[in-house]
Amino acid sequence: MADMLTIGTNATNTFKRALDVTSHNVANIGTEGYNRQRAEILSDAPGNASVGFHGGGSKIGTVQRMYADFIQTQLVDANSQKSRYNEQLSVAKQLEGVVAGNDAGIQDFMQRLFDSFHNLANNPTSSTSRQQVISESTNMESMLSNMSGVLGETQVQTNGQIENIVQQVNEKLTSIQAINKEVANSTNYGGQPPNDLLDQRDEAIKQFSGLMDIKTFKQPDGRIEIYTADGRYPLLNDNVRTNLSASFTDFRNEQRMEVFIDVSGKQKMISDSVQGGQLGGLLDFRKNMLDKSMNELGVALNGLVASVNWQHYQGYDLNGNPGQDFYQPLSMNAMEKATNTGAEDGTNIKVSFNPVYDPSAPVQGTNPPFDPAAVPPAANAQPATYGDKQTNFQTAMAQIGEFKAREYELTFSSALNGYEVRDYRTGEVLNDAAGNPQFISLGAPDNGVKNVEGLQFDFSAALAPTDGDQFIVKPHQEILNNFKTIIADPETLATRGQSSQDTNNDGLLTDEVPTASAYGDNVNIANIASLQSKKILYSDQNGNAAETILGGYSKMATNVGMYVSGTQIQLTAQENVFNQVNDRREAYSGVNLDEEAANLLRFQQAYQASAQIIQTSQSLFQSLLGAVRL
Amino acid sequence: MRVSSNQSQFQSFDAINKHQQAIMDVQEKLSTGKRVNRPGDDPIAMNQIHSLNKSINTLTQFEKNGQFAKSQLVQEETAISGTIDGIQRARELAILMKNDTYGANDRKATALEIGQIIEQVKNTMNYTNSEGEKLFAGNSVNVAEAFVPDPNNPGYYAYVGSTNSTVGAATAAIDVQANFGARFVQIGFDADNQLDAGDLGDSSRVRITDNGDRVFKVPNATTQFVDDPAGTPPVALNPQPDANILNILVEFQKTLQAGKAPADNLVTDMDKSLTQLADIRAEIGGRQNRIDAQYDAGQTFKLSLEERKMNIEQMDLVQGISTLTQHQNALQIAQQIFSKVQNSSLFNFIN
Repeated sequence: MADMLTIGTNATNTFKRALDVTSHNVANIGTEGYNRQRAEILSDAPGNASVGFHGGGSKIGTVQRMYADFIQTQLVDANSQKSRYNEQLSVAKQLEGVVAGNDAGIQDFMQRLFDSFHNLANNPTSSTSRQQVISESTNMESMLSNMSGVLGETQVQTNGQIENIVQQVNEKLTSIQAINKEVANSTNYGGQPPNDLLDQRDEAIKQFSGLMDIKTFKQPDGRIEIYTADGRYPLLNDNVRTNLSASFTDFRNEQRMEVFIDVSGKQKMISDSVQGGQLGGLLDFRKNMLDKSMNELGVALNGLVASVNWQHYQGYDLNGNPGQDFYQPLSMNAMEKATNTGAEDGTNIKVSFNPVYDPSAPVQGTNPPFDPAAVPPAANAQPATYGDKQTNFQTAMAQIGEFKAREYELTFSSALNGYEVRDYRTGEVLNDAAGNPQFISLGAPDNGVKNVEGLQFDFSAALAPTDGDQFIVKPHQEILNNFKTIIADPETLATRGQSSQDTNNDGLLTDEVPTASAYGDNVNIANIASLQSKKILYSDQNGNAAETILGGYSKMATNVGMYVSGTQIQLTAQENVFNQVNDRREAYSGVNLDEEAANLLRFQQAYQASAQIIQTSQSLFQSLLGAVRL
Repeated sequence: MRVSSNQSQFQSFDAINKHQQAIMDVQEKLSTGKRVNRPGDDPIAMNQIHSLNKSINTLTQFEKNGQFAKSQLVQEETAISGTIDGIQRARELAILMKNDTYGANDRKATALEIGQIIEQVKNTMNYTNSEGEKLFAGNSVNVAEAFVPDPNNPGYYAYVGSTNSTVGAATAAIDVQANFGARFVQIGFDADNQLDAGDLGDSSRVRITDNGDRVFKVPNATTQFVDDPAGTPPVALNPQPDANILNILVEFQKTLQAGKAPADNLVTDMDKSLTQLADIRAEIGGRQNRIDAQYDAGQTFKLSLEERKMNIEQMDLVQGISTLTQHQNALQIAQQIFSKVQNSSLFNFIN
């Protein structure tokens, strides 16, 4: 049975502890992730006295952490999304800045290029006007290479960032693993929850969620398990850590950093499973903004190169020779996958813009630029009639309209003896205009050469592949690095068009042999100048083009803007969600100083009163002693 | 609901931050004067601004094209006017010389003056502009002369594109291309953005080169060119030289040199040539008017485009300044609230 002295002593201890907890709360007001604690005061077990039960004073049952699991889970998710859009916005703004910074320049230089075409059309024999065309073209080239240079740099920078974040992910994982271990130990031996350790772990997990989105599962022993957000890959399972790694994809020379995880000894790419956190934001930026912008800018440039070149082929220069390449035409190879086993390494697969030429069955006049020395029926000799020439040109323009801002993945199938064509980003099989899957057969009917979305894929010189060999082609990124004016001699600018002479007087020019018009003719250069206003890009199913060349560029700029403003809206929304959840957490778990001040007073008073009990007990004892003193 | 001490701090700071961001935003827009400074500000407007810029700049280029075309046409007009003056003088002399009061010697003396007129007309017909291009050689602007001495009929002249300009293999081939003058200058937006071969042009373009054969031809000429006007009878040349005004003048001179009175045919042919040249001059004037009309239309169009662009791109200053003031006030209030709230704590009252 507790007596007054014991009760008093226990009570002072109890309130001392309560004051300790209050002080701990005040001390941690600034600690990130701290959950307020409360000393749970219980009345002590009643003892059996001779007359009924009477209590034994008070004691501290436990120090409770004011913590709600569901709020913390929400907070982790919200933090993951918030930090994703935060990162996404900051990198997107960087790219947007590049576009905005070069925007006026590109518009201006493109206008000046076409103005110079117009000036030359006014005055086709003037050597100054001719020279001006070449200089303006070179100016625009350097303006664009400035922009594509920064885009390329951003790719490299993104690679570096991914690598960096993956490293942070691993470090965070290691520290969570360490805390996990301590938590399990404390729970096993102490019996009481290690409140501050749990706070630390929660905070570490929250920070981890800022790097990538995750799912957590609590184990009975107090440990926590971490999985990727889609629940497919364990990161911390049974407190065993699975490290992530950042490395280049399997396609040689692609130099594209992806996130991999070690699944039973095999490296598995999980970039698509990461949707949140800084890593998710960065990957989304790369996929939906950077790659897209580069490909869209590439389509505009490919359109410019192909249309100007082909219109240039239609005409004749000052000396009456057929127009040659104005810009360096697109011509590139494929990149092979490291795991390919066939002999072909991609360098013999050729992708170019060659809309009417079939190397396996060459037709006269289908393979410009025309060589005046070529003997018909050579493919690079002029077509038989002006009408054929025009038809080929129309086909070429229609093919330009087929360009898509896409990257291609080619997979060899030995059963079908040909290549399947897929979108490299989405993996979907591409369909032709009739809705059938695109397929390039090595035998008949394609003989290894086929036009897909305006581009000619030529496997005729390729070595033998084996089944499942994969190659990728990024034609619209290639042009960014190889956009070049190669015409150098002003005299070779093809200003003159087809002769107006109707030799058989039938009222038609289409049946005439292609012949140069007079020295001062400007038909061809006027048509090149007109390409500025002509809609040639992004045709619909009926072949009606939707965009001009500048329109192709502004499509890119618009998409950049949409991405930024979309991200901005998302970020605001996610910030609001985060703030709301955080408010809830604060309301439940946050420290309120006024409350602590009140508690301080309360427990102090209680402590003083308890001390008074001891005092009273002392004086009672003294009274007793005094009563028996002699 | 409980409120944690951190919460009020967060909230105040959040508010301050928001207002500061808004101020930054308005500040940029006000200082650049533009509502759209980067694609993200208004992606759709960005696209519209691009196409508006393109249209405006292209219209400016069309204006420049029009000015250039006009300068070419003025030169052509001047050349034709000079020729008309010369022919008128020749016609007066022809009427005078028909009169029997003038004898053979008078006619021979007049032939000398006609010789000068021939030189003048020949010169304008071979007119070269500042770029060294022949005005009246169609598109064969680089030929040495638009009207070359007729190799079949010495003393006469043939257009470089005419069959008379050559004989056998000894002389240069006929320059058939000179019969087309396909240089068209674009002065307005084109429906199909395409200029076809065939010397036809289209409505958005104005022709600035003409072939001399068409300009200086005497339509339905009746004069017969003869080897010697003094001969009895004179033998008609075979083939006949080109029926252009220059050759009519040469024939006139030859007639006078032979001491003969010019035939009525010569005078009527000169009349016909005058009518033809006046027509051509009117046509050139018409082209200039088209350029002017197109310029005016372009200006109006440009103005409306500029206005539209301004509406899309420019910042409304009044609105911008009031927004700025609004956010500034809000920021000040938020800052004051922050200090007020932070001052109130129960700890201040203990002791």
